[in-house]
Amino acid sequence: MITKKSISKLNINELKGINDSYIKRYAKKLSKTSFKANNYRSKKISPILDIEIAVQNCKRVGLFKK
Amino acid sequence: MIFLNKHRKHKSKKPNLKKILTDNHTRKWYYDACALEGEKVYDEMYTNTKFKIYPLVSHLSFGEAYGNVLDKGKKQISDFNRLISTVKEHCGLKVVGNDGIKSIYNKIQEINSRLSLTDSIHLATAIKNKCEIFKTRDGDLTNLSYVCKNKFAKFAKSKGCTNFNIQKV
Repeated sequence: MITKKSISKLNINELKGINDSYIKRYAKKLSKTSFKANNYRSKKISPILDIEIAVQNCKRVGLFKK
Repeated sequence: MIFLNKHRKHKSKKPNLKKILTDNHTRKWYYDACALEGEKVYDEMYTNTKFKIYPLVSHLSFGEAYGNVLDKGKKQISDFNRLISTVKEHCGLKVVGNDGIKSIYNKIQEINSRLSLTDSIHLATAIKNKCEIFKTRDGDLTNLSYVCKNKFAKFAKSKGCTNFNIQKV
């Protein structure tokens, strides 16, 4: 699960590299700066966050059983 | 100079996933179709790679999970595909076939004839590939009696799997 705590542990550059509105919101809070979408698409994503995002996307569309 | 070389710290190397996928002696955990439909499993897979334990999925379990997703819609299919490819990239997920399990399957049916065909195939595939843990959400397998689980563990040990255990996700 993506939590505030787990996100805050990550590098701000890693957060900016993710095209996900949920994470962007927290990244914005952490950095307190506004940034454009094109700037952070090319940045490197950490593996755990890559998996978390894929899991969150699946959860959002109702793939997982409770 | 020799002294310095002796005491030089070795850098920790990243695990070579390509090598792991071909190596038969690594520690493996088997995931059946039901287990793949739980969200907690994927975090576990990533954490396990730090302890050199790698996830293993059979054609049957992957096919079952994919079949369930197909009914739901296009968005679900693409998200599931992305999830599996991400897990394969970062956790070294290995997909194996279900061939060559006939003798193991017969022995499993001998131990517990109530088990369904697919459950028996999953178990046989896990034993054949020498997996340590069998992860599932299926009640038929998790609610097996202690005696039955013990018999499976003994049989698995005879086939070369040490500490074989069926665990609930």
